[in-house]
Amino acid sequence: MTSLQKILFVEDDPDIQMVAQLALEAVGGYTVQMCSSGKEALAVAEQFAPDLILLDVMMPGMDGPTTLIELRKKPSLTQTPVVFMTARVQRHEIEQYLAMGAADVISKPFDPMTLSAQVADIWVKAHETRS
Amino acid sequence: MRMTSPIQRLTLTYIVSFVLILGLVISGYWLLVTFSSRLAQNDALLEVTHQQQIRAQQVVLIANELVLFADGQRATALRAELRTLRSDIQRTHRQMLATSSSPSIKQITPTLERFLQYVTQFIETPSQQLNRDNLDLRAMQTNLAALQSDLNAISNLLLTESQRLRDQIALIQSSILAIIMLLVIGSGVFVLRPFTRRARREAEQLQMLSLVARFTDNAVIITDREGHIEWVNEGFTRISGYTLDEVVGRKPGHFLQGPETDPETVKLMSQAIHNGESIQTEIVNYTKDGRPYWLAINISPVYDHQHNLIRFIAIESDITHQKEMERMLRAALKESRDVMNALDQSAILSIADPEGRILEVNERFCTITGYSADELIGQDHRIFKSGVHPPEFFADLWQTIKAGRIWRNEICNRAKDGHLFWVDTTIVPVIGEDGQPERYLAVRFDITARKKSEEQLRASETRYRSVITAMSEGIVVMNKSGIIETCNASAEHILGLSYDQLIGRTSFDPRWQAIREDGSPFPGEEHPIMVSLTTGQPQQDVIMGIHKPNGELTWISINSQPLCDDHGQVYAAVASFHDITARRNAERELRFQKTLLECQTEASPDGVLVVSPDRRWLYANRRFLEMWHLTELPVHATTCAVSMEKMLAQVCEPERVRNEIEELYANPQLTGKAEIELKDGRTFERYSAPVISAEGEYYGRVWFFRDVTERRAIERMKNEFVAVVSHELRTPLTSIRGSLGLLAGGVVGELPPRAASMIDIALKNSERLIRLINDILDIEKIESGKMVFKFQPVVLDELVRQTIEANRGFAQQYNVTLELTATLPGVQVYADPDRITQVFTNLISNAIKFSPPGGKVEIAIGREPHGRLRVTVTDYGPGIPVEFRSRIFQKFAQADSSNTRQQGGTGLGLSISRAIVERHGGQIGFVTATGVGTTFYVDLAEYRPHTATISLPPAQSHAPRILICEDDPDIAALLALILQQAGYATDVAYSLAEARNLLNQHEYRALTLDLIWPNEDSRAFIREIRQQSHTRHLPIVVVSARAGEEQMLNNADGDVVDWLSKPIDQQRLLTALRRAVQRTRATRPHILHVEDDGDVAAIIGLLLDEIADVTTASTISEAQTLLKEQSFDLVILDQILPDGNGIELLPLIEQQQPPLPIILFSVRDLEPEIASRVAVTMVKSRTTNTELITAVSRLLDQTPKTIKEESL
Repeated sequence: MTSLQKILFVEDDPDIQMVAQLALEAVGGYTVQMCSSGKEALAVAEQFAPDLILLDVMMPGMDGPTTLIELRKKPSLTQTPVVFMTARVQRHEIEQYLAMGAADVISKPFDPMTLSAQVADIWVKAHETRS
Repeated sequence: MRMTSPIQRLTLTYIVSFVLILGLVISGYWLLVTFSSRLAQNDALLEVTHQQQIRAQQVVLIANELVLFADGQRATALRAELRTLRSDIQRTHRQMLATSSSPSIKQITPTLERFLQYVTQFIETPSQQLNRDNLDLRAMQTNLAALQSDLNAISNLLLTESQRLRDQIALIQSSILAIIMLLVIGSGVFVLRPFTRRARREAEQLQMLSLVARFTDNAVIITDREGHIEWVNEGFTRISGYTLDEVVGRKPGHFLQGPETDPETVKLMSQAIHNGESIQTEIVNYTKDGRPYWLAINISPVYDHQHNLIRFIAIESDITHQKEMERMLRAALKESRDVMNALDQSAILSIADPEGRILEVNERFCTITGYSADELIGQDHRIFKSGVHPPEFFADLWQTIKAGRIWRNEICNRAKDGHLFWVDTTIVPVIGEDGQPERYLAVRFDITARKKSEEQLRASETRYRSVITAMSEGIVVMNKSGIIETCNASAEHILGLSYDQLIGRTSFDPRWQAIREDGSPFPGEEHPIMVSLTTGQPQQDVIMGIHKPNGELTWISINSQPLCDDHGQVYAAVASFHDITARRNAERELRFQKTLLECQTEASPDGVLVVSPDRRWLYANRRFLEMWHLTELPVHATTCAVSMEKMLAQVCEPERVRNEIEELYANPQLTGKAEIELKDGRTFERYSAPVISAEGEYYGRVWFFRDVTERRAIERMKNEFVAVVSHELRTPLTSIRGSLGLLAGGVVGELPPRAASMIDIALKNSERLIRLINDILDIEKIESGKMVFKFQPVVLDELVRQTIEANRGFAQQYNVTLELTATLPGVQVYADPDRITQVFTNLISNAIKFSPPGGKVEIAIGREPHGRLRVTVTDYGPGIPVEFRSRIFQKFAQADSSNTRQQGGTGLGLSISRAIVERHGGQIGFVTATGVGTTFYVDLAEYRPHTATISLPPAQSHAPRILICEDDPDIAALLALILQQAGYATDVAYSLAEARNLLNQHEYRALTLDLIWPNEDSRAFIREIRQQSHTRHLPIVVVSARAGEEQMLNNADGDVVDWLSKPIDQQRLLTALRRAVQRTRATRPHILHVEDDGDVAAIIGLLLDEIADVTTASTISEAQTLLKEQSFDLVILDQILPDGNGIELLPLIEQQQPPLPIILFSVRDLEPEIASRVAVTMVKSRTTNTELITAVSRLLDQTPKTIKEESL
């Protein structure tokens, strides 16, 4: 994979879904598959085969970390960079997520104009680390 | 015996002398004559000798003439002359030989004859043969020389002889003259005067003798040579009863001797008389009436001048009485000899002369002293001196015996081998006829054994007495009648009564006011000593309260013991007692304290358990039992093990809890705090601490359990609330901010300009709201202590560069450039990089916001004193408004609300930054000038990884800093000069606004204040200072022209330390400031900590940070330098230092004014001398932090509590 193209975005808040999708598609030019819950993400992820997954932490039903664990169980997604997005920017939480295998953590609220660049940076870094 | 009268002898002596002298004179005369004639003869001879010489010379001369010149006629004449001369010489020589017997003359005869022989031969030599070589002439010439010399020798001899004779003649002449003179004088002196005097004396003597003969008590008998009595005196009549008439012509022996007369004596007397000799003897005679008497008789023969025996004279004295005395004496002597013998056998005897020299000693004396008699005789008694007796003892001895009195005492003497012995000595002076002692008889008995036993008895008695006296227990002895007989000093002391007051008292004395422990009266018959006395039973530990005479109640504990005689009868009782008042009071106090503590503990909402080192329960309060549901268990039966199992059964993680508890028990010095979750959902906070006395004794461990279930629940709720709130706020904000961002970014298309500006406003404010939420969360975390710092070594340069880069975008928005103007590559700080980045970001973003467009923000890294690094962020903006400077670090502080809105700040950034910097042990501050710009700085300790020392909070410059508030630059400069010379650091504020600003930035020890300011009220300024917490106690010295009147009006409130008028009294100013600085120092003392272990130094520095400024010295020399350069209030001293023992610093510390208290960390117990110089001694491993802080606080005369209040 030589560039970031497909992003799976998992977010329960429809407003944020809209803003984020616009920001990534319009500003970054990425292909975004939006999911409203962890369950949905698990259902579509393999088929969509994203280059990067953005995962909200606080979600009803299955929360972000659980979703990550479940996603990693799928053979095709074991190496896909996962970035958490959270409004709780407690330092220990960030560390916890990184320990779980997250590539990075983006705090909410985010700047929609720079989000694409931020995501691109993370993908490059994750890609370099892996190789 | 033939007697010649003295006159005759004298006369004879004179005649003999005269004859002798006459003889001497005559012989002298004769000698004179003889010598004179010999002298004349000598002279004649001398003359002749000379003539001979001349003649001999003439012979040779003529012979020469004859040889040389003579013709026939002349030769004949010359020959004739030679012949004449020869015969002259010959004749003269013969004459000389005849007149003088001198052998020298004879000796020259051969020479002369030889000469003459040659002369004769020469004369007879025919004329023809006469020439110069004539042998005879030659011989003549030769012999002439020999003859000449011989004759010369003779003449010399003669001359000597003559001289000798002349001397002798002179001597004899003078001797004769002297003798004649002596004769004349002697006859006058010696012959005439003694002669007349002696004659007179002899006449008188004769007369006296006759008187004596007549009147003497002695009998005088004169008999003729046959023994017939011629005369007797009255004395004879008195003794014998015979008168002169009755005895004349009779022989004394015939009528005076009787049967008891010793025939031998009579025979001896007869013989003596017959031989005409004198005799002296004793004899028994009989009186006329037949009574025998003893006579001492002396019979002397009397001779006339022709040595014919003419009569006898007998002198008799009656010695009957003497004889009787003698007999009695003999008897007495025998008796005393017996006594002496007896004494000799039993006693030690010696006799000494008046000077104390030993004249005689007996055998026993020798035995006891170890000397032999020979060694002792003649010695002084002082050789036995033992040194036991004082000089007065011997002075008394001598005084007594010299006065003739008998002296008796016990003397300790020293024997020859050095051992001491005691003798009972009686010295009897033996009085001589002159009434003075002439002998001292000393009788001694050996009492050494007795003395020894006495000594032992005395020693043991002394011992017991001293034991009793020294006992702290009071001892009282009561006799059979119940009366106190004696007591010791402690009894006097305890009972408050003197010995005299005690003796004679009974136990019934109402003055005792004795009471029992319960306060009821103690009857006299029940006093333990009385009980022992009456019942014969000992009493033990009876407590009794008695009232001392001064009314003070004293509690004593009494034991009593009866004293029984051989028959078991009680004859006295002894009571011993000690004062237990203090103990009782202490016990009561302890009971009170215990009750108090128990009440407190029981009332405590915490469960409290105290466990002994051997893990037994010592105490548990009710709350503890309730908390752990142990109320069913009887406390006294509860062992720790049982209860612990019961407790552990209730907790969620029993093994973890058990391990923690075991660890605490294993390490008595540990304190520990932990939370315990119980299975029933409760949460306990567990706190445990060792119970250690001030002396360091470990009593056990105390456990506190606090039920924090509710508190934890609330905290959880709060945390959740904050988290939820922040999440719940952020979620909508995410949408809002995202939408606005997209709109503003033109993602959805170009907006009309007015809409675009509205969207911008909305976007900006949504961003501000996000920052606000973030900052609020930060502040909440900081204040609740939950902000976690991850300290690590950080390269400051890199961190600053990263921060600058991160902010470049933001700066571009404001058209501001960021520039790193100075840096220190590689230097490190020990910091949480995220938090420090947050600070720098805040400072840089502030600087950007306040920079004018196109402006520049300069960032620099530099060094400060004391190993500090400083990061500065400088803008060239408007500067911080004066009235805002003091509040800049306060929460939500912004210059004004419009500014806030304009800059989009939250008002929390600097407050958070300061909190973060302080948590790093650093400082944050600023310098600003209105219209010029502002520089913020952050100071952090440099981290040096290799030294491994933990950097401490900055050691402050110890020159006390004074703020000068003065608008007149000249006066301000003057004040600064005065104060700097006195060793202060100074800052000047030319306006009150500047003063406020400086006060916010620096810590000052005092400030000087002018009262007159243009457009400002100094009174309000003072009030303002007093209202602010950090300047509340700042001493103010007013220096003002109006000081006098202001003081009159306003001194009541005491805000001002001193009021000084202008012109400035330098001395008074300095005195006032010194007082002021000392006052502030009391709130912030300065401690010198001498410690080589960096870790310990860091820990103690942090521990005491709240109380005092701590300066650390790691060596003795460093400490010495610091002590000389700075002033301290206390020294904490480690004993073991790299360059010596910390004790070496004591003298220097003691020299400080005032001497500094010292806390010494020692490794072992100190010598008392050192300990007395140190205020507190602590052992490192045994000292808890609390103990150290308590000790330091106490020594600084502060309590930890007040420090805390002041420091807040």
